[in-house]
Amino acid sequence: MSDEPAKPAAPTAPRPRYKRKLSNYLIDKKLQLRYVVVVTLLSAVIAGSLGAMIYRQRHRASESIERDLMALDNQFNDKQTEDLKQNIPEQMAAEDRNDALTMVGVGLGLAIILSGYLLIMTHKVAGPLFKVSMYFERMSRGQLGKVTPLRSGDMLQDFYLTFAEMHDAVRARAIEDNDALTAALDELKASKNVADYRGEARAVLDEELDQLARHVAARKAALVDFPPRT
Amino acid sequence: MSETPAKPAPQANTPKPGDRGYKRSWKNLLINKRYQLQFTLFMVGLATVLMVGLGIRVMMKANEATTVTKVHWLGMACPEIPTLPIETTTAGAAAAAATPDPAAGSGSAVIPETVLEEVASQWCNDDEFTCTEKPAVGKPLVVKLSQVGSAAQKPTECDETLDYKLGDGDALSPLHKAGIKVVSCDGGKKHDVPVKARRAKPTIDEESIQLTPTTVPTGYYDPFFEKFKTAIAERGICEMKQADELAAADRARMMILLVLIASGLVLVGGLGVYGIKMTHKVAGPLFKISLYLGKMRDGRYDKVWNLRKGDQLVAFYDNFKVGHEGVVQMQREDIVRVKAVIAAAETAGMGDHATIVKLREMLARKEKSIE
Repeated sequence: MSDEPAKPAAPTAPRPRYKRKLSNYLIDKKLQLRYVVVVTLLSAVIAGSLGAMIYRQRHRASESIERDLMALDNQFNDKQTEDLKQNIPEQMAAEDRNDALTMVGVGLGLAIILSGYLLIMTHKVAGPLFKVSMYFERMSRGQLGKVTPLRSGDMLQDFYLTFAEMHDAVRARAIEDNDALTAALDELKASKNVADYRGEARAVLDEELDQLARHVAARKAALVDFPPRT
Repeated sequence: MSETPAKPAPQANTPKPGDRGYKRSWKNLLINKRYQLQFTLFMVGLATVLMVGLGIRVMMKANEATTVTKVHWLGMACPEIPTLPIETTTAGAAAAAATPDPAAGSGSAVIPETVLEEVASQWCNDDEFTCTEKPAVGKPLVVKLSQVGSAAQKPTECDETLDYKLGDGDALSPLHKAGIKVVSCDGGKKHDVPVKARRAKPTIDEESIQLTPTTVPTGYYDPFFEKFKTAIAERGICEMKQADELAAADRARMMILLVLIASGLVLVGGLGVYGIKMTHKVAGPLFKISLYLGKMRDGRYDKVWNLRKGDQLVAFYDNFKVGHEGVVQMQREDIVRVKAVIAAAETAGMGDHATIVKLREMLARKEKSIE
């Protein structure tokens, strides 16, 4: 999820720079679509109702002019008036139509641009959440590799910082504990020869120390950096 | 990330005393200011821009429509009030003639033809006078004595006879009606038509003679005044309707403006509140998780409680609980291993070994962390 490359693990190749894809913008459909739909619908309602008001006012003016034109026609009834009678209403109707179409076009354009913009904006919230979710999922498997920072444009930076501090603290404690267990293991293995071991007890202790060694090794493996994304 | 309700974590079945009965309060709605304000202000700003931009356009069109409506009503000519040819007085008083303007057209009152016939009857075809030309409305009347060849033909006699006749109410009345202000003898001097007759009209019955002052017969003016009154009324109604329609057009324009402003304010205010509440449902869970993250950082892996009803990010919260459970599981595994080693060491007689003592301390710390 990050643009910044993670620190490469010693034997591995540099992690490829992650590119945002258009199809990946909708990470949390419900969260993102909810906001997008609310804002877009709201804008549509505002634009629609005010657009209807504009059209109504314009149409009202056109109708009034047309009525006056008809009255003029009745008074003079000459060719020029006849032309006016024919042309001006058509012209006004065409202008009304154009106005309505322009408003519909602007409204649709606005809705599309707005939806796209909001999708990107909500992605900047959903993206960090997605990234943190991945770390949570790794934590559930006992993997505590290093976390990488968010992209610069992402939101929820403060939240992510809190998460990263927690993750680093848990990881540091786990490493410290693992080191302590490793040291304890070494000391106990060195000390067992001088102890007054009885056969059965010694076997049990050996078995437990072996299990602890396996446990420490597994834990150590889980504390290395996360493997590169394929 | 679905919005299905989170399954309670195994350790979260017992309600936490602090969580019970928790109510959202307004002052706590703004948890993550940056995130919440950014989204809310975007919505509010967008709505404001749309409302202002389109509102200005609406008002421009409303102004156009108002202007067209006003022009329509102002262009409708109200009926003209006719010019009075005769100045009337109060009931019983004589009327002073006013010269009607022949060029006034439809604006002037039309004097009925019968009036001129009446003038002719009184002044042109009687025993005393004949007219040199046909009487016309508002024009001076020129008369001469009827008895041709007599001594009465002298101009002075004509003037005297004329002056005498102008004192007679019956003779004056048609002149008033026709707006004739001057009567002159042919070749003689001009006589102004008096407003009031000089002589009273005698009424003789069997026992008495009663002198009744001659008055202008006001009843004659009724048809004209009816028209006059009707014209005034029609014009008044027309002007009132015009004024009413103009005011209505202005009112409609003002109403549109007020509706736009009111709806804009309500919308922006409502959106602000809605935006804060909506984003709070996202910021709330994040805030809660942040608290748990702080505890985890300090080595305390407390119970994780469920979200409140209505909160968003339920799936994300589930993921957090799974991650939290993973860390707790790590501690449990460590505890199991360390406990087993300590037990085996104690059995082997190494319970007092310094390493075992350290392991006991580690065990105590880990056990405490998951309480």
